[in-house]
Amino acid sequence: MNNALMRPLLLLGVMCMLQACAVDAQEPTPKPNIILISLDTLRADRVGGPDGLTPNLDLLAQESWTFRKAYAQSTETLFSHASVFSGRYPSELSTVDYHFSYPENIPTMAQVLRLYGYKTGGSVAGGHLSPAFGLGQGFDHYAGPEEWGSLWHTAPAALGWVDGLNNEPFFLFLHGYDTHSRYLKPSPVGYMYASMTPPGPGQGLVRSIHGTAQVVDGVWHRRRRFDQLVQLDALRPHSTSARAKIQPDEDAISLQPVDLERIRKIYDSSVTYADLQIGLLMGELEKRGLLETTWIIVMSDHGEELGENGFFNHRLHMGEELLRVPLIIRPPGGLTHAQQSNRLTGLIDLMPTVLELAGAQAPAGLHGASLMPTLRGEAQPAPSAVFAEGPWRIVAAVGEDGGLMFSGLSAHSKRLAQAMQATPLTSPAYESWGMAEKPKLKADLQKWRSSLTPHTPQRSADSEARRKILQQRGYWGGP
Amino acid sequence: MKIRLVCMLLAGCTQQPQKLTWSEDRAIAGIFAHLDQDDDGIIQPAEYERTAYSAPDFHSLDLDKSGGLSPMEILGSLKAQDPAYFDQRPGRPPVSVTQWRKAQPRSAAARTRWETMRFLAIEVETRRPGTDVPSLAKIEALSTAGGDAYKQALDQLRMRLSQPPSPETERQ
Repeated sequence: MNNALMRPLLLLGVMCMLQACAVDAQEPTPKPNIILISLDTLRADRVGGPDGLTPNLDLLAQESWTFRKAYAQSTETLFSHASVFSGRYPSELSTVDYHFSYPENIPTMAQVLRLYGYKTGGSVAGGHLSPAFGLGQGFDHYAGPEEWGSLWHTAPAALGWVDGLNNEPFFLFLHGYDTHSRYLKPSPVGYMYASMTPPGPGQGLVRSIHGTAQVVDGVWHRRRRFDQLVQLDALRPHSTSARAKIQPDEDAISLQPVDLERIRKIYDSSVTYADLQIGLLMGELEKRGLLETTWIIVMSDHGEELGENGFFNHRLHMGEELLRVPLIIRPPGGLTHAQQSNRLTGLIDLMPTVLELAGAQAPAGLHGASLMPTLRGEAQPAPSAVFAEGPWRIVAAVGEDGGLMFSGLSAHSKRLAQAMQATPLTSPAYESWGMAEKPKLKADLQKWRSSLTPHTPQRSADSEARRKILQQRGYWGGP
Repeated sequence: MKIRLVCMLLAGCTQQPQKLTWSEDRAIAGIFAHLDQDDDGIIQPAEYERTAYSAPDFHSLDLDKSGGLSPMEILGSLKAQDPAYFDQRPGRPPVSVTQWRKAQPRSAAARTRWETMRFLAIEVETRRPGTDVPSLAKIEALSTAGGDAYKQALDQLRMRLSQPPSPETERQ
């Protein structure tokens, strides 16, 4: 029997086994609801910090577990969420580039929860979470009211979906691009931390769609698209040599330190705006009596460079500011005291965690570990490293006190193995940060590579048909 | 600091843990405290104008005509403004995969060839400064065409990389 026929049958088999477990379980207690909130592009260091940017999230943290060392598995919305939804690394699912398509033979979190009697809803803000990439798999309802929208758009839509349920347990995935560029938010929040004077190009930049992604080393290249910048060196778009090739044209604007600081402050105000939406959402959930019956998980899919490496972006590089993300988990009813975990954690742990919360059996092939022992207050061994993959062939390993990355190499590349052979590491593809023990991290990375199951590259006929339908509806560039 | 103090008070940071309740007052409290620079409990016109960018007129928000904006009036303004369009910006279109793919235009096989050759070329450039390596345009052409010419060029890069480094490079 060929692979094309085998895969759906195998998936059906797995699903039947999971269904059988679901029926056998016969849980006497009602299933908890689960709400997973993704605040796109929110840096971990902006939450709970001394500047008080997130008063509502800080309040939420007071009755929750906060994972202070949580790391994303990609720096791109699409791959990071695909990893969260599947419990697998991005390259196990599809090509880690913009040809990505979520594979139909790998169950999603929503798919498994649905088997266990959950209603599954996704209220997403479009962009790279468009259903065109297949991330809607397993959701009864997966839609976005506004492209590149905010929780301002998606939260009311999500509450409308919840209100339409008939007291059934539900899993809700809620997403917003509040802290994604373009950063500027409505007054009086937009400029609450930044001065509007003196006027400068930074003001136009934070309003423009591609503006921040066009800033390289303090110059705003207004005529260049983000992908044109990348094409200068698709292997190392972040490198000094790639930047040296960027020739400013007559429309390029040199930004002053005051402009760059203004961009950072306006990003911060977008964080406060997102935080407000969380506060309002919590109020709505409380009105509905849902806070007593619902697990609430708040995460971000990746961080953002705010000029640290010359860029305002999140796709070209990997480092602490891009990979460390907020992760807050509030049990039904809330904790009486804030709890914090310093365990090294990956967002890849969310799939087994959520399934355990729901009493669901996890499918085989997951990489992460359920965080339930930590949530129960038990000691839980930590992995020695977590890993990430990016769209321009970047792989990274993050340990307790730092990380390392290789650019221009996929996790499955033989060249990566070669590049790692040298001791000390001297490949130009290599960078590191922090104090982590690098030989140990290198060994961890090697071990991780061998644990990956490469995705099956062929796309099914169904997937192609789905792609065509979506194109007709205007996604992916449309007809 | 002021926001944190307000939040601590709102959260009831006392000796006894207290159940939180969530409300609109609570949600807007941090923002309001930041805007209310003189701590008089209202946002006066000057305080509002300080951050008003493409914003509704102060008087249109002052519903009770008190001369100052209350937390609920500030919140009402934020609820009314669509963050996607509030400053007459154009809406942002759906992701165009065609556009995104332009940055990664090759077939999977050609892209692998391109990345392999580019990787080796960078290694050679770094480790054997002054050694000839194919230009970006040449790499593009060779990896797109594949075949013997590509293999030969790749072998040459491998050979250059296997040669011992010059004393100068060694010192680096």
